[in-house]
Amino acid sequence: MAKGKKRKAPMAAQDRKREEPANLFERISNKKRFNILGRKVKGDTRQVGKLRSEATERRKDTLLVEYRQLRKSNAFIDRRFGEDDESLTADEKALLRFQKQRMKEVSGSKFTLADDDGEGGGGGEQLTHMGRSLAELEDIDEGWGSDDDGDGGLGDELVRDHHFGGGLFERKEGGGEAEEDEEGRAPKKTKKEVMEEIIAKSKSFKAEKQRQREEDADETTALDDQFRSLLGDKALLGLMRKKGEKPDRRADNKEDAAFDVLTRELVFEAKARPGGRTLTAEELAELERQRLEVLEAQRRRRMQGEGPEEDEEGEEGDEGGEGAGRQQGAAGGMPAGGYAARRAKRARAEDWDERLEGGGASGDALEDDFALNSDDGSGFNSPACLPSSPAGAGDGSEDYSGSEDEEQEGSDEDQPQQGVGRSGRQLTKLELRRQARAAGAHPLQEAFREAAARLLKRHRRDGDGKGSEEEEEGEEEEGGSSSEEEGQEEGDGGSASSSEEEEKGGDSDSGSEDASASQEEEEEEEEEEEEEEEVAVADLKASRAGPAADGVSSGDDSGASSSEEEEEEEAGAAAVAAAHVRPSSKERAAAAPAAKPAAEAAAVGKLPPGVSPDLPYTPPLPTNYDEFAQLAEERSAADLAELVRRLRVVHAPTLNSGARKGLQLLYGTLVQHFASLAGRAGGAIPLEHLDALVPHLVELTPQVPFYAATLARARLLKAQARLTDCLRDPELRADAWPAPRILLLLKLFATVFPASDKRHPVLTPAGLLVCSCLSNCPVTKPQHVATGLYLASLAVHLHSQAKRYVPEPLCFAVLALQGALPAGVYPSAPAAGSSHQRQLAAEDPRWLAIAATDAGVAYLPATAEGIEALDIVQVLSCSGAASDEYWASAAFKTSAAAAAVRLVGRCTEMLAGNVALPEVLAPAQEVLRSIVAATEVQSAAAAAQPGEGQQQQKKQKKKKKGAAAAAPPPAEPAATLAPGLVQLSREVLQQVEAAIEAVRSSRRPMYNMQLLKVAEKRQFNPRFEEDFVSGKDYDPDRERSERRKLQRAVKREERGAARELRRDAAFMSDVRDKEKAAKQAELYASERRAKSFLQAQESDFKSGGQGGMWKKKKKK
Amino acid sequence: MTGGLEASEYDEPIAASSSDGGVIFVLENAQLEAAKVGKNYELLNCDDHANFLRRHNKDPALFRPDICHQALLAILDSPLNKAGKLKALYVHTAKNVLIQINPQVRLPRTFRRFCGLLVQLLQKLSIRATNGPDKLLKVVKGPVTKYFPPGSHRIGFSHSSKTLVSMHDWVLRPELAEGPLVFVVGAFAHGKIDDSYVDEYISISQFPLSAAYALGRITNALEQKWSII
Repeated sequence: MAKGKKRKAPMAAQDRKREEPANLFERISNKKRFNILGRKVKGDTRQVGKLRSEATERRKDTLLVEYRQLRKSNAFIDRRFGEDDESLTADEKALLRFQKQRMKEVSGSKFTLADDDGEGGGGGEQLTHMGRSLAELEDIDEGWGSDDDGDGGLGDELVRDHHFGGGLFERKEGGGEAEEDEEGRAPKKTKKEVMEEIIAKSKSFKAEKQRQREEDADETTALDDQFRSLLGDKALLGLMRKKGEKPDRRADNKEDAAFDVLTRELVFEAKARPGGRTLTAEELAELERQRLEVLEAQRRRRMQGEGPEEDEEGEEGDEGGEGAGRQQGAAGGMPAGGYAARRAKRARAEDWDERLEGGGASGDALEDDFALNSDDGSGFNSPACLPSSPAGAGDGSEDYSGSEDEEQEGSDEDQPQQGVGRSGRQLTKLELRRQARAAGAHPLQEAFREAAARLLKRHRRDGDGKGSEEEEEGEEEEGGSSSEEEGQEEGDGGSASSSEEEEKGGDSDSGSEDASASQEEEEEEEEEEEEEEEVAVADLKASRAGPAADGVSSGDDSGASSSEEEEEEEAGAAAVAAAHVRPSSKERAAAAPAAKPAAEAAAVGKLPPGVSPDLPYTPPLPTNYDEFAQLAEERSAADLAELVRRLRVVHAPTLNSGARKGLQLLYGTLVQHFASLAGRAGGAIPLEHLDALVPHLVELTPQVPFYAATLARARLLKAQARLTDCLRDPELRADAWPAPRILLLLKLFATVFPASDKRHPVLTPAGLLVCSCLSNCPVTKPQHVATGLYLASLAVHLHSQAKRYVPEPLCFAVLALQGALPAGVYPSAPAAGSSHQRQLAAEDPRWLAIAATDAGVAYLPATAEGIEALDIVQVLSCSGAASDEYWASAAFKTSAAAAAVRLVGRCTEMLAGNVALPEVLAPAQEVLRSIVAATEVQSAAAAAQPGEGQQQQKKQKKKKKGAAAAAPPPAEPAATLAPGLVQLSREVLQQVEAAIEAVRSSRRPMYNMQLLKVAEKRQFNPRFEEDFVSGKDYDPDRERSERRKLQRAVKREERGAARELRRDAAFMSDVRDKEKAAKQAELYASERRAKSFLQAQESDFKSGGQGGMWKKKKKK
Repeated sequence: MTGGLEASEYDEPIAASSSDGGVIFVLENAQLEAAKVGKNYELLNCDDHANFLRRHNKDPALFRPDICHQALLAILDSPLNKAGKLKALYVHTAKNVLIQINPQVRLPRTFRRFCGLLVQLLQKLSIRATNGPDKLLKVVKGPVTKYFPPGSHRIGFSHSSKTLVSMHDWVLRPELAEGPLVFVVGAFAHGKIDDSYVDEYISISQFPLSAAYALGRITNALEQKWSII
């Protein structure tokens, strides 16, 4: 019915719409201003009048009805069919009534009661009696023993299983367990059953096992019986062995026998034995001290004229020969190779180790000592090289670190040209320096050479008996190469080969004693302490006064030669040196008788060369400097070194805890001695003495570091104060450069303290002092240039290790080079940004410019190698007026300029990789360029005029005359430059330019468009939805949007309700008004009716019963 | 204001000072129209809505929002804009809706998303930024001339123009130096710009150019002029 209604309603509406034509005046519509395709807006046109009348009708049906029922307690509802409907006719009404009645009859009872069937009513009602269900009551009745249980209990089951053949009805769950056991799956076992099962299984398993065992036993007995029968047949007799008989293990083949022999022999093989304990430092010091005490006692005995003790003699006799022989062997020619060579080398190494342990005055550090190392490229020779022999310039080009093979090679062909190596290739600078060092100006080398010469001399004398001069020559030509046959030759000749085991046979006459000694020594070598051996050797030497000169020489040489070999490992140099020294050795031979009275000296044994035997072995520790000065007075350098060594040994701090203070005292004394030697007024500075002191100072400094630093700082402070005073004083200012003493002390400090420290209590102020000298002291003399160059290279040494940049050395080098240029060439204008640098003014004297009138101008070195290094002795000691000549010489100027150029090169190396390198090196580059350019001009001029020298001078004179008329062109410089210097400058300029180019190329531009980050305008993303629906809430907060939606709905409802109420009220008031009006009208009507009645009555009365139809006074 | 007209909040004219040489672009006659297709509103384009348009008696060839999309991207992605030289950007649609676009907007790259954006804009009349309160796109009242700074040159681009110029040379003309520039480019496939407010028309190629390419030429020329790389 409801559906039908719904369907009907729109149809009715449609019908109505179709019926009613649209009244244009009733229609109201919304104007569309922006048309959107496809959009349909609901309610854009409305039939206002119709909507209103509909609303009124709706209210009449609802509100008005309610209003009518208002305050009515009862209401009559007419349920008669069709009474309300006016449209029905009477027949239709009757029909409807009949239909209703029939339907009621068909639909049956009003109440649908459940069946009596138990199942059917199971879920529904339950009959009860007195609150208890009737079913229960039935059970109780059964309990009381009713009889009719025959068809009750099993009834259902019977029916289910057997009626209709069974299976018709479903089985109930949980019913009839027993039946299911038999039929279907096994029921769950109880625990007891499980246990029983397990027990049964284990029992059966045991029984089975037992049975198996019995079977096995039976079979075994059967087999035994069979075997016994076999034995009885004796078929196996060959395979059996009697009890107790051992198997035959004798080897049956050769290899096994050999192996057995070897195994037995192994039993007698020597086993490793533990060596002696390594001695501690204290023990070694103690031993050394004891040795010195013994020696001192001997010396005293000798002083008093007593002979040496007898009991030592025999042993020492053996030893001495060996020692001499060994030394000779070492000096004259090395063993060729093999075990002998190795053994000899080991012996030498031990000897050397022992010497080192004793802190011997080896003088090894000499070339590294205080003077400028030639490694630093400054152009200074090391002081040790100062008395450079011109002959030794070209030979001995050995690396110190060369291996033995190289060494032999080098000694084979030992005449290398300077600058060209053995292999003919161009030598590097380092190699050149090494060559120079190897050239033999070293005192040790000289000593070595002497020793070699002496040996040679003796060798020749020995060889006179058997050998010939030619052999000697051959040996010399071969450069002392230690080949095998040569060794044999020497063995024939004499004692040189005595250290070699193979040649110990006594085929030599004069050397037999030595040879036997060496044999003994071989045996004893392993067991004896090295020191004892030395003592013995020394004593033997003392006892053997026979071949005096020989003995002396060998004794003296021993230390030098061995140490020299250890240090330099130059076997070949010995022979070459010997060749040089041969004339002097002859002289020596002539002077041999004079040396004979010095038998006492010969007895000293292993004294270092040049050490006088009267030096006390255990000198007392000097308590002040005067005592030390007394001790060291008039001593040679070797004596001084030995003295200090002995002082250190005897008063070693390891022996005596209180000796540390003594050590400080000793250190202070040594430094003072160094200073006083360096500052000795007048004459040359005793460099050898200084050299002797330096190794000790180097070794002592770490032992008393604080004291050493304090001492050095005090001296530096004094020097600084002096410098400040000098610079302030206008008179002293001209000669403000530090004295040689200070210079040497600075170098000493730079040697003994580590220069690589970032901040050092001594070297930092030392570096500052050096730099302040370089930047402040005025150059008023040529020697100032030399001093400045010395200090500059010292500064480079101080700062290069730490890679610090200090401008002063480079600035000074540039200044010096500017001074080397001919006047007028430089400077044109001061370089920009170099205001802090010292610039050579145009009017300044050019100390290094070589004038045409200078001494030696004709012999200017043609190559860079030809330039002599600047002599430190000259730099330090040439202060007198006599040396002015030297300062003015072309040689000095060239050397100094070369030193400055090398300094620039060194600074370039030091600055490598520095980003500021191009700017820092710019002045140096400029001055080097102008040196090169000046010579180009010069050479061009020289090419124009082939005659040089005199002619040039003349030219200059002519030019001077014409100078007023025309400006002198730069083609005519007043001075010349050494070609060697120019060559050097060109090399260094190339180096500088390469370094500058390397740094320049690695520079990146500071401003790069690509790298510059331009501020881009910020961009914003628009906020929009993919599928935007107008009016949808896109609030991500769901709750909030829900709430807002509800609020909107509430408001909308509120508004709707208010509108409805308003309209209802209007409607109701309308209704009420109408009612009122109706009532009023009714009232009025009744009043009128009453009135009219009364009027009629009255008129009737008045008309006399005529019903008003009374004629009025008719006036007719 | 006189005449009882009140300035709306959108009516502030762009205060583009002529000194720093700003430039304004107007895309005229852009074919951007939203319609309710099925249940949703969609930006009409000739590909997806051909049948719909035919049903409503419209010519599908006239519905080309992709031209406007490309043109806008060409302007907004140019270094000219990144350098801050673009002062304002207006789109005038064929249905007479004027859209003001903030030069700092980052438009959707894909056409679908662009359509979504414009549909929302045409319904809500403004679009805000995701990370700020600024209105990046908004529908403003016309005419567009009231947003031009005073003294601006209004240059229209048309292939039919008699003056064929090289853009790179043309922008260097001295008379363009003082005033701000307004470039009016049509964002349509066929048609002509409404010439009510354009001072002069120029043609920058012998060939008819697409809107995006023409804008690329213009921006390139200006970038070169102001040395924006």
